[in-house]
Amino acid sequence: MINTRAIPWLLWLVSIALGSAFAVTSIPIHTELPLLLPSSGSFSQQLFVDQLQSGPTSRILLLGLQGAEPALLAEASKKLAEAMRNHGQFLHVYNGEQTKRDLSQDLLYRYRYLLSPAVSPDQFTTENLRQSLQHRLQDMANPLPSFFKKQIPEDPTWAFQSLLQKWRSRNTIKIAHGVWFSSDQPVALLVAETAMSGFDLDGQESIQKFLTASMEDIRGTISPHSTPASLELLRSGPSVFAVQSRAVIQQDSQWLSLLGSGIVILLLLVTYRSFTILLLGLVPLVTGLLTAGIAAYLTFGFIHGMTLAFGATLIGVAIDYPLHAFAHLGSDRSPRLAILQVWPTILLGATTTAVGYGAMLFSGFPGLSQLALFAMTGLLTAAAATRWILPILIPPQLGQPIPWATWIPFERVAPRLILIVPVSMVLSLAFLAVSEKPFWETDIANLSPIPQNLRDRDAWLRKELGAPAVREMMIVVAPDHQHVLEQSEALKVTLDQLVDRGHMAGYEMAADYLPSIRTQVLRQQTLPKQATLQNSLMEAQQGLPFKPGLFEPFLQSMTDSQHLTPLDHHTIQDTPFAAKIRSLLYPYHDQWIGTILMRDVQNHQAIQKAIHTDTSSSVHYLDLKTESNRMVTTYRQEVTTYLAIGVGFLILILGFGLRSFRKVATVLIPIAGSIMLDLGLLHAFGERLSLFHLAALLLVFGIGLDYTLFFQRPHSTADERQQTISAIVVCSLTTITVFGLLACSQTPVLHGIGLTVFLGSLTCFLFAAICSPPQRQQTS
Amino acid sequence: MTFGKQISKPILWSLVWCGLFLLGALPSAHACKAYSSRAQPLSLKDGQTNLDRVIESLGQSPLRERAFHETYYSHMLTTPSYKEGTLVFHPPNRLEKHVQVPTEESFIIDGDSLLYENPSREISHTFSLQEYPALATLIMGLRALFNGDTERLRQVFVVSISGTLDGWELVLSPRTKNDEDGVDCIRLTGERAYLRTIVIHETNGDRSELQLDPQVP
Repeated sequence: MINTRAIPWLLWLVSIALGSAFAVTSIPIHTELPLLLPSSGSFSQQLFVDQLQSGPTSRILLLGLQGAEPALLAEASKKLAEAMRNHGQFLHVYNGEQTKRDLSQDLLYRYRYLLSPAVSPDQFTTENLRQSLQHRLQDMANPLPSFFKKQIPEDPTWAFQSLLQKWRSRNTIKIAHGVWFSSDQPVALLVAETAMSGFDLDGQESIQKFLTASMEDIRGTISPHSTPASLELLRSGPSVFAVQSRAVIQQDSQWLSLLGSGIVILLLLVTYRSFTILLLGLVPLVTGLLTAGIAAYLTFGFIHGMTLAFGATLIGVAIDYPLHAFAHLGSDRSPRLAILQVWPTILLGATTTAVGYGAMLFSGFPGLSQLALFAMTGLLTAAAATRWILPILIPPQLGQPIPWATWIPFERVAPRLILIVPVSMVLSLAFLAVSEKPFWETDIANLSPIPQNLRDRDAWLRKELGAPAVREMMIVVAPDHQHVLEQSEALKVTLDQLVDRGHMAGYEMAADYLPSIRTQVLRQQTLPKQATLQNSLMEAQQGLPFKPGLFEPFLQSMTDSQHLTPLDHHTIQDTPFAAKIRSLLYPYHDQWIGTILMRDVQNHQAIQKAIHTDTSSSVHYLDLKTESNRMVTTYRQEVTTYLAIGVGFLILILGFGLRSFRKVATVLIPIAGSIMLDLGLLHAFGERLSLFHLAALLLVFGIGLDYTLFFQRPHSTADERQQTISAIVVCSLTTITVFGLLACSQTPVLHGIGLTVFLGSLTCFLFAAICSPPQRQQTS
Repeated sequence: MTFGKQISKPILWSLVWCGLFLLGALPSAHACKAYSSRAQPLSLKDGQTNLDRVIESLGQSPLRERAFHETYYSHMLTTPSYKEGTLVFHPPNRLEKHVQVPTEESFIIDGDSLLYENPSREISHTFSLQEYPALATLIMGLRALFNGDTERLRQVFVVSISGTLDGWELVLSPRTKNDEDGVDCIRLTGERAYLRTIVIHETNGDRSELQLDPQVP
């Protein structure tokens, strides 16, 4: 007897185990944002996503060391920078230390007249040469290091110095003990760029761990006794925030769901006094989730992390299906009969909800269609599992559950409250219409779980380091790298004007470091011939105390420069400064992209306007913040549209299932009423609606449908009705507990979802109860 | 005319240059040895005492603000370049050098950073002294001197002294010399608490001579 009952269990467990093993080992879970977006998006939109994910600004890491004497901080800064440079995952690390003169600098020195932005033909006129010589005379008498002085005979116009200036563009940062320090606080500053994308979360997490480990090493190696425990590393930047957000959300959701599960288990145990029922209750949900995952994988080849998170929430309503059945357990009824009794209602609820979600299948956004497929498959499978798998697994006899409903005077109270439904609908609508508070969340920064003080610190570090703003950038697209460089150079006039007018503090582009071949050749052509230069130099030197013949090396290097082969992307490949160029100039599909970074932007519109009026469409101005907000808004609109379509279909299905217009109306009115009250309450609590609230409303909708259908199903006896209501009470208690806890989360996204579903399930339960047809009509 | 001008200039310059080189080469050959010609050589023990006394008196009435005249002799130049301005010391760590002639320039050394400003060339640049060891050595020496810190001075330099308290000469030779950009030695002369001249000899033979006025300008 025991054996025969064990067999189906074994079979189910084995298939679930096999399915899970397959899912865990073979289904790739992706978190990349572009996978959620339509491939038909505009080029600029694709560029935006690409930049957001892997652009140079996303890879910037801002670091600060504090909590010790400046000398110690400087030592730590040097040690940390060294460890980072040796790590191999950083394109470059700057901390203010003078970089050693190396081969690449010699290359730069040799090519100074081709590379330096300061080189122009009028620099070599007698008058300007004379001015340069006067300046050198001044510099010479200054306590400058002699390698500067040694360059005077070869480079009296300081072409190399102005080139270096560009390379060390952050030369305004205060230097103390040989490294960068904040201007007003004892904080040693570093800036680095990781080789990997800023949103390669696992990779970035390993970088974070490496930094933590390096700090431990540093604590151990530099004067271990005098290193104060307060020495700490401040980290900031998009990748740090991304890793942190993920950790915060994971941590929050983990303990909240653990607590939620505990309470729900306790509630179910009290109600059913049986572990078997507890396990049985999970059967449809687990089956549904697994099937949904496999279906999404078979269709899309992967599952997106977002699908998993939201899909699982949407399928959560399936935990209610077996609960409805268990409520009807009794000494006079076999469990199978109980399941068959509630099946038509479950079927109607599951199909209509699935249809509601299903409309999103046809959305152009792959993220939405995957979510729809996942939720639909999950719900329908869970319903099917309730009908066909549960009866096999369930033992023939089970105890009667606690009849919660008998303790609540529904029958007497509920019908008298009927007016509450229309009144609250009207009030909510009126409140939403009159309220001046914004309804939608338009700034996704507010959804970030990163606390404001960390965001302020990011802004502070960015300002201190003169690091480019993450918010906006320009992208130059051209068929090859030379065209990108040429077009970037063409932009310089406009950009310089913008800087002059104070619209931004400065900019950075690949052409600053590596001019196009055309520019280099042009400079070569305009360099003066030796005889001409000799004459101008001779005249310029008059009255100045320079030794005759001192500038012979200058004349020679001018001649040499005219015969150099211009540098390009390939010839600098193996030099240390290739990394810098590569972060600003790189291939993209079959084209090339140049990124122009801007510092301290003051006037977005002015820049945008200047760029659009001055150049062709190959230059794109990307405002990452506006663009990401726009993307989220588009997504939200897409959800709203398809949800409306879904509701249309759902009404049709309901009409088909209930075969009465009046019945359809009585099902929909409480749901519409509770969603409207939910919205009104959310708004009153100061919540601004985002995509996440909408997703939560989808669940509220599914829950509402479940409750109303069960409240309204015909019953043959008063007992049976009590049992149905008891089941709904248990269902809503579990939902309210789980999401009520989630509403306590500090993470805006989790809090938003939690609060929406908490209020929604509460209002759905109340309205479904109020609108349910009175008992006496059923019995008569 | 032009032809003659072009020929005669270099010849003239080379003559002047040769003469100056010969003149300049003589003292620079012994640049870092303490002279004993101007005053009596002192015994080591007396020297020590005198050094302490000289430094003590320098430290007690530290240079606050002084006008200076600087002449710079370079192997690249035929005639020395000249600057004048004021030198300010705020104990213990801040040294300022403001050049007024021929053009405005300022060097402000605070802690271990050097701010160089040149308004006419629109330059305002902060250097780290650690990047320029020679400069750092120089500054360290001057600070130790002005703060009356004999011990610190001896850590960085080999110090020799000659003359009397009324006419002393200090020669500071850095203990570590850097060929790339080096100070060969710093020679200071003065009377009691009055520092009269600072001469900095560079390893390449160039030198800078700073004359300090006795009074606030």
